Amino acid sequence: MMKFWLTLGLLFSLSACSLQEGIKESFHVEEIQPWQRDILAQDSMQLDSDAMQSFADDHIYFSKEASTGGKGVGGGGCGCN
Amino acid sequence: MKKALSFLFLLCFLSSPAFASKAAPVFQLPTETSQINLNKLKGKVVYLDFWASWCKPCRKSFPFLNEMQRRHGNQGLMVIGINVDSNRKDATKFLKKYHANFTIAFDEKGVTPGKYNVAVMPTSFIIDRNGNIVNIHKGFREDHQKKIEAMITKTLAAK
Amino acid sequence: MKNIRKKLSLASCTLLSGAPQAANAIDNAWDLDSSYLYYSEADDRVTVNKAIMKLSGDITDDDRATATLVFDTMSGSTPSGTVRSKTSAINSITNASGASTNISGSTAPDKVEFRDTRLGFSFDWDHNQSRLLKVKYGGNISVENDYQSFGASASISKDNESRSLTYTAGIAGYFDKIFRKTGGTPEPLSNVEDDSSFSDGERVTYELLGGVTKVLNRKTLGQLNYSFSYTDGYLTDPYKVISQVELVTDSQTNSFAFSELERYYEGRPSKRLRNSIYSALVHQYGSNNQVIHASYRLYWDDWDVVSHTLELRHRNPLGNGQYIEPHVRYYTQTAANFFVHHLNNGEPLPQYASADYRLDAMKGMTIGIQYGRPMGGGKFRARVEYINQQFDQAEYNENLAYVFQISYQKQF
Repeated sequence: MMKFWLTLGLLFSLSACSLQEGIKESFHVEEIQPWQRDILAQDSMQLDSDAMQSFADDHIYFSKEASTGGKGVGGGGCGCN
Repeated sequence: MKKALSFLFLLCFLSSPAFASKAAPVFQLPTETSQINLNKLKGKVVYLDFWASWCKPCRKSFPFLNEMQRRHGNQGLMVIGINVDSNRKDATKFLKKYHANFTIAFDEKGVTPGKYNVAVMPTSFIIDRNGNIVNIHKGFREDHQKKIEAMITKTLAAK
Repeated sequence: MKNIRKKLSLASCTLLSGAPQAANAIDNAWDLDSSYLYYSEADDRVTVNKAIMKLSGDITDDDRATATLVFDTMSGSTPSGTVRSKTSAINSITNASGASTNISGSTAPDKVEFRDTRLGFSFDWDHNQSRLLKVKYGGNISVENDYQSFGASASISKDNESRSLTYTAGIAGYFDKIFRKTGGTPEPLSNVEDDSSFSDGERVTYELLGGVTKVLNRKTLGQLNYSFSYTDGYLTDPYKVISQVELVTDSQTNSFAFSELERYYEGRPSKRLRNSIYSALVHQYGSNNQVIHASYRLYWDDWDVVSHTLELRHRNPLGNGQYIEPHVRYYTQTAANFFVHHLNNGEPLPQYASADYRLDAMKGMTIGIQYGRPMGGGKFRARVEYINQQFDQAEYNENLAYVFQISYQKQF
């Protein structure tokens, strides 16, 4: 049963188009200019892109597992002001 | 000897930080209807603001920029908002929603902010009638509006 | 209200007269996010209905306040920790609400019913100390029939000049009070029939957090943080029990079966030291601006629980601001060193023991999908998740649950 779900999940995550290419290009480090933060300013690019979802999930897993915490720092975004 | 000394003294005075105003880097950019060239604006005081549709404080500064153009336009102030959205469509979409009284110039490639060493979004520059930068303001805050307006009126009053 | 303001601002713009536009004519001051969540486990186990409301707004140029209210009701039945034995010498059980029920003596009840309501409130204050320095203060309170928690936190974040790096350090403290609905807590590892109880359980937790976030390139953000927590006090679950059994031959099926002889309340250590290292990556790629969120957390504590959590979210824009976002989460944990399935007859009681399945070695997998779209000037989201947990030794060695959540966020 577990094996089935594991395989499904793995296929699921790898099936995203150009995912492997995405992984390669993400580790290329470069300094960007303050006026080039358009993509980083998008909602979907925030570390916590849906606070309601993560708030609920944190509570679910806190109640059903032995581990807690981990997250909780900010950063990124538009870098304005 | 005296002439040489006073010339040297003048040279030192002219190059001292207190006096030196940097000449504003020139640019020529498309606007909504035509083009704008900074060189052709000598004689006017230019309030130059770098903004983008994705920058929240930039959006907040719009009412202030509109107000400055409205109040001081007839004294020779020209407010120019240089948009640095990499996609002009995002800026146009924003402008349809939020009206601008002042000139909007488009710099999709982001060349001009580089020339002006923009360190944060938004940054605004007050350029005097001789084309020199007399003030740089980083970011936008509601409580700085009065201070900026005071600097604008001072620059408008100067020769 | 918003339309009137917009019309006024347009009017003043075109007429070139009148008072200056209101400072917040463009971005509205308040942000309200509301959500409803439904969680349901298979086999009539736990069901949760949760409502969340979060209101935030900029008070000044440098201050942002957020208030969150949570209300939930939990009901159903949960494994008590006993073994499902054919016979039991125990004649009564105390269920989670505190009432005693007499059982007819054959199959030992292994799930206890409960009903609980919880109200939680938290308040956060973000303050820009200077252009590159931000401080956050937070306070929270949570109350339910048999649990109370009060906490406070403070953190400081510093950006570098180009805002490509953010360093954060934080501390937090919590005070919790745990008690049965009938009052007090049972004496740890005491026989259930002795009915020996102590006063309410209390515990204090201290937390430390340190992290760094870095803009790797125009489309990528990375984060790494470390957190440490220390708890001192009552860490036992006052409702969980453990069966002391002996193996008997079941004459009907001719196989071995457990026969419950005694039942004891569980007892956990009074201290817990936890560590976790969390890393995350957010990256946009592709012609359709897809975003991938990947995170990994390594956790370990002094109860010998070591866990790994790997989470992936993949956002696919669908046009007109809509998106779907599949989600997958892999989780594994080792058992706490005092976890037992049962106690054996004739053996001395250990110092600490618990049969709570949540402390067992486990592998969990969650798959889900979220749909989002702009709606009425705000953002609508809906998601479903399926959780599958497989436990190694616990009597109830499987937990299957569904989650449904619907949310709406709007600025006004």
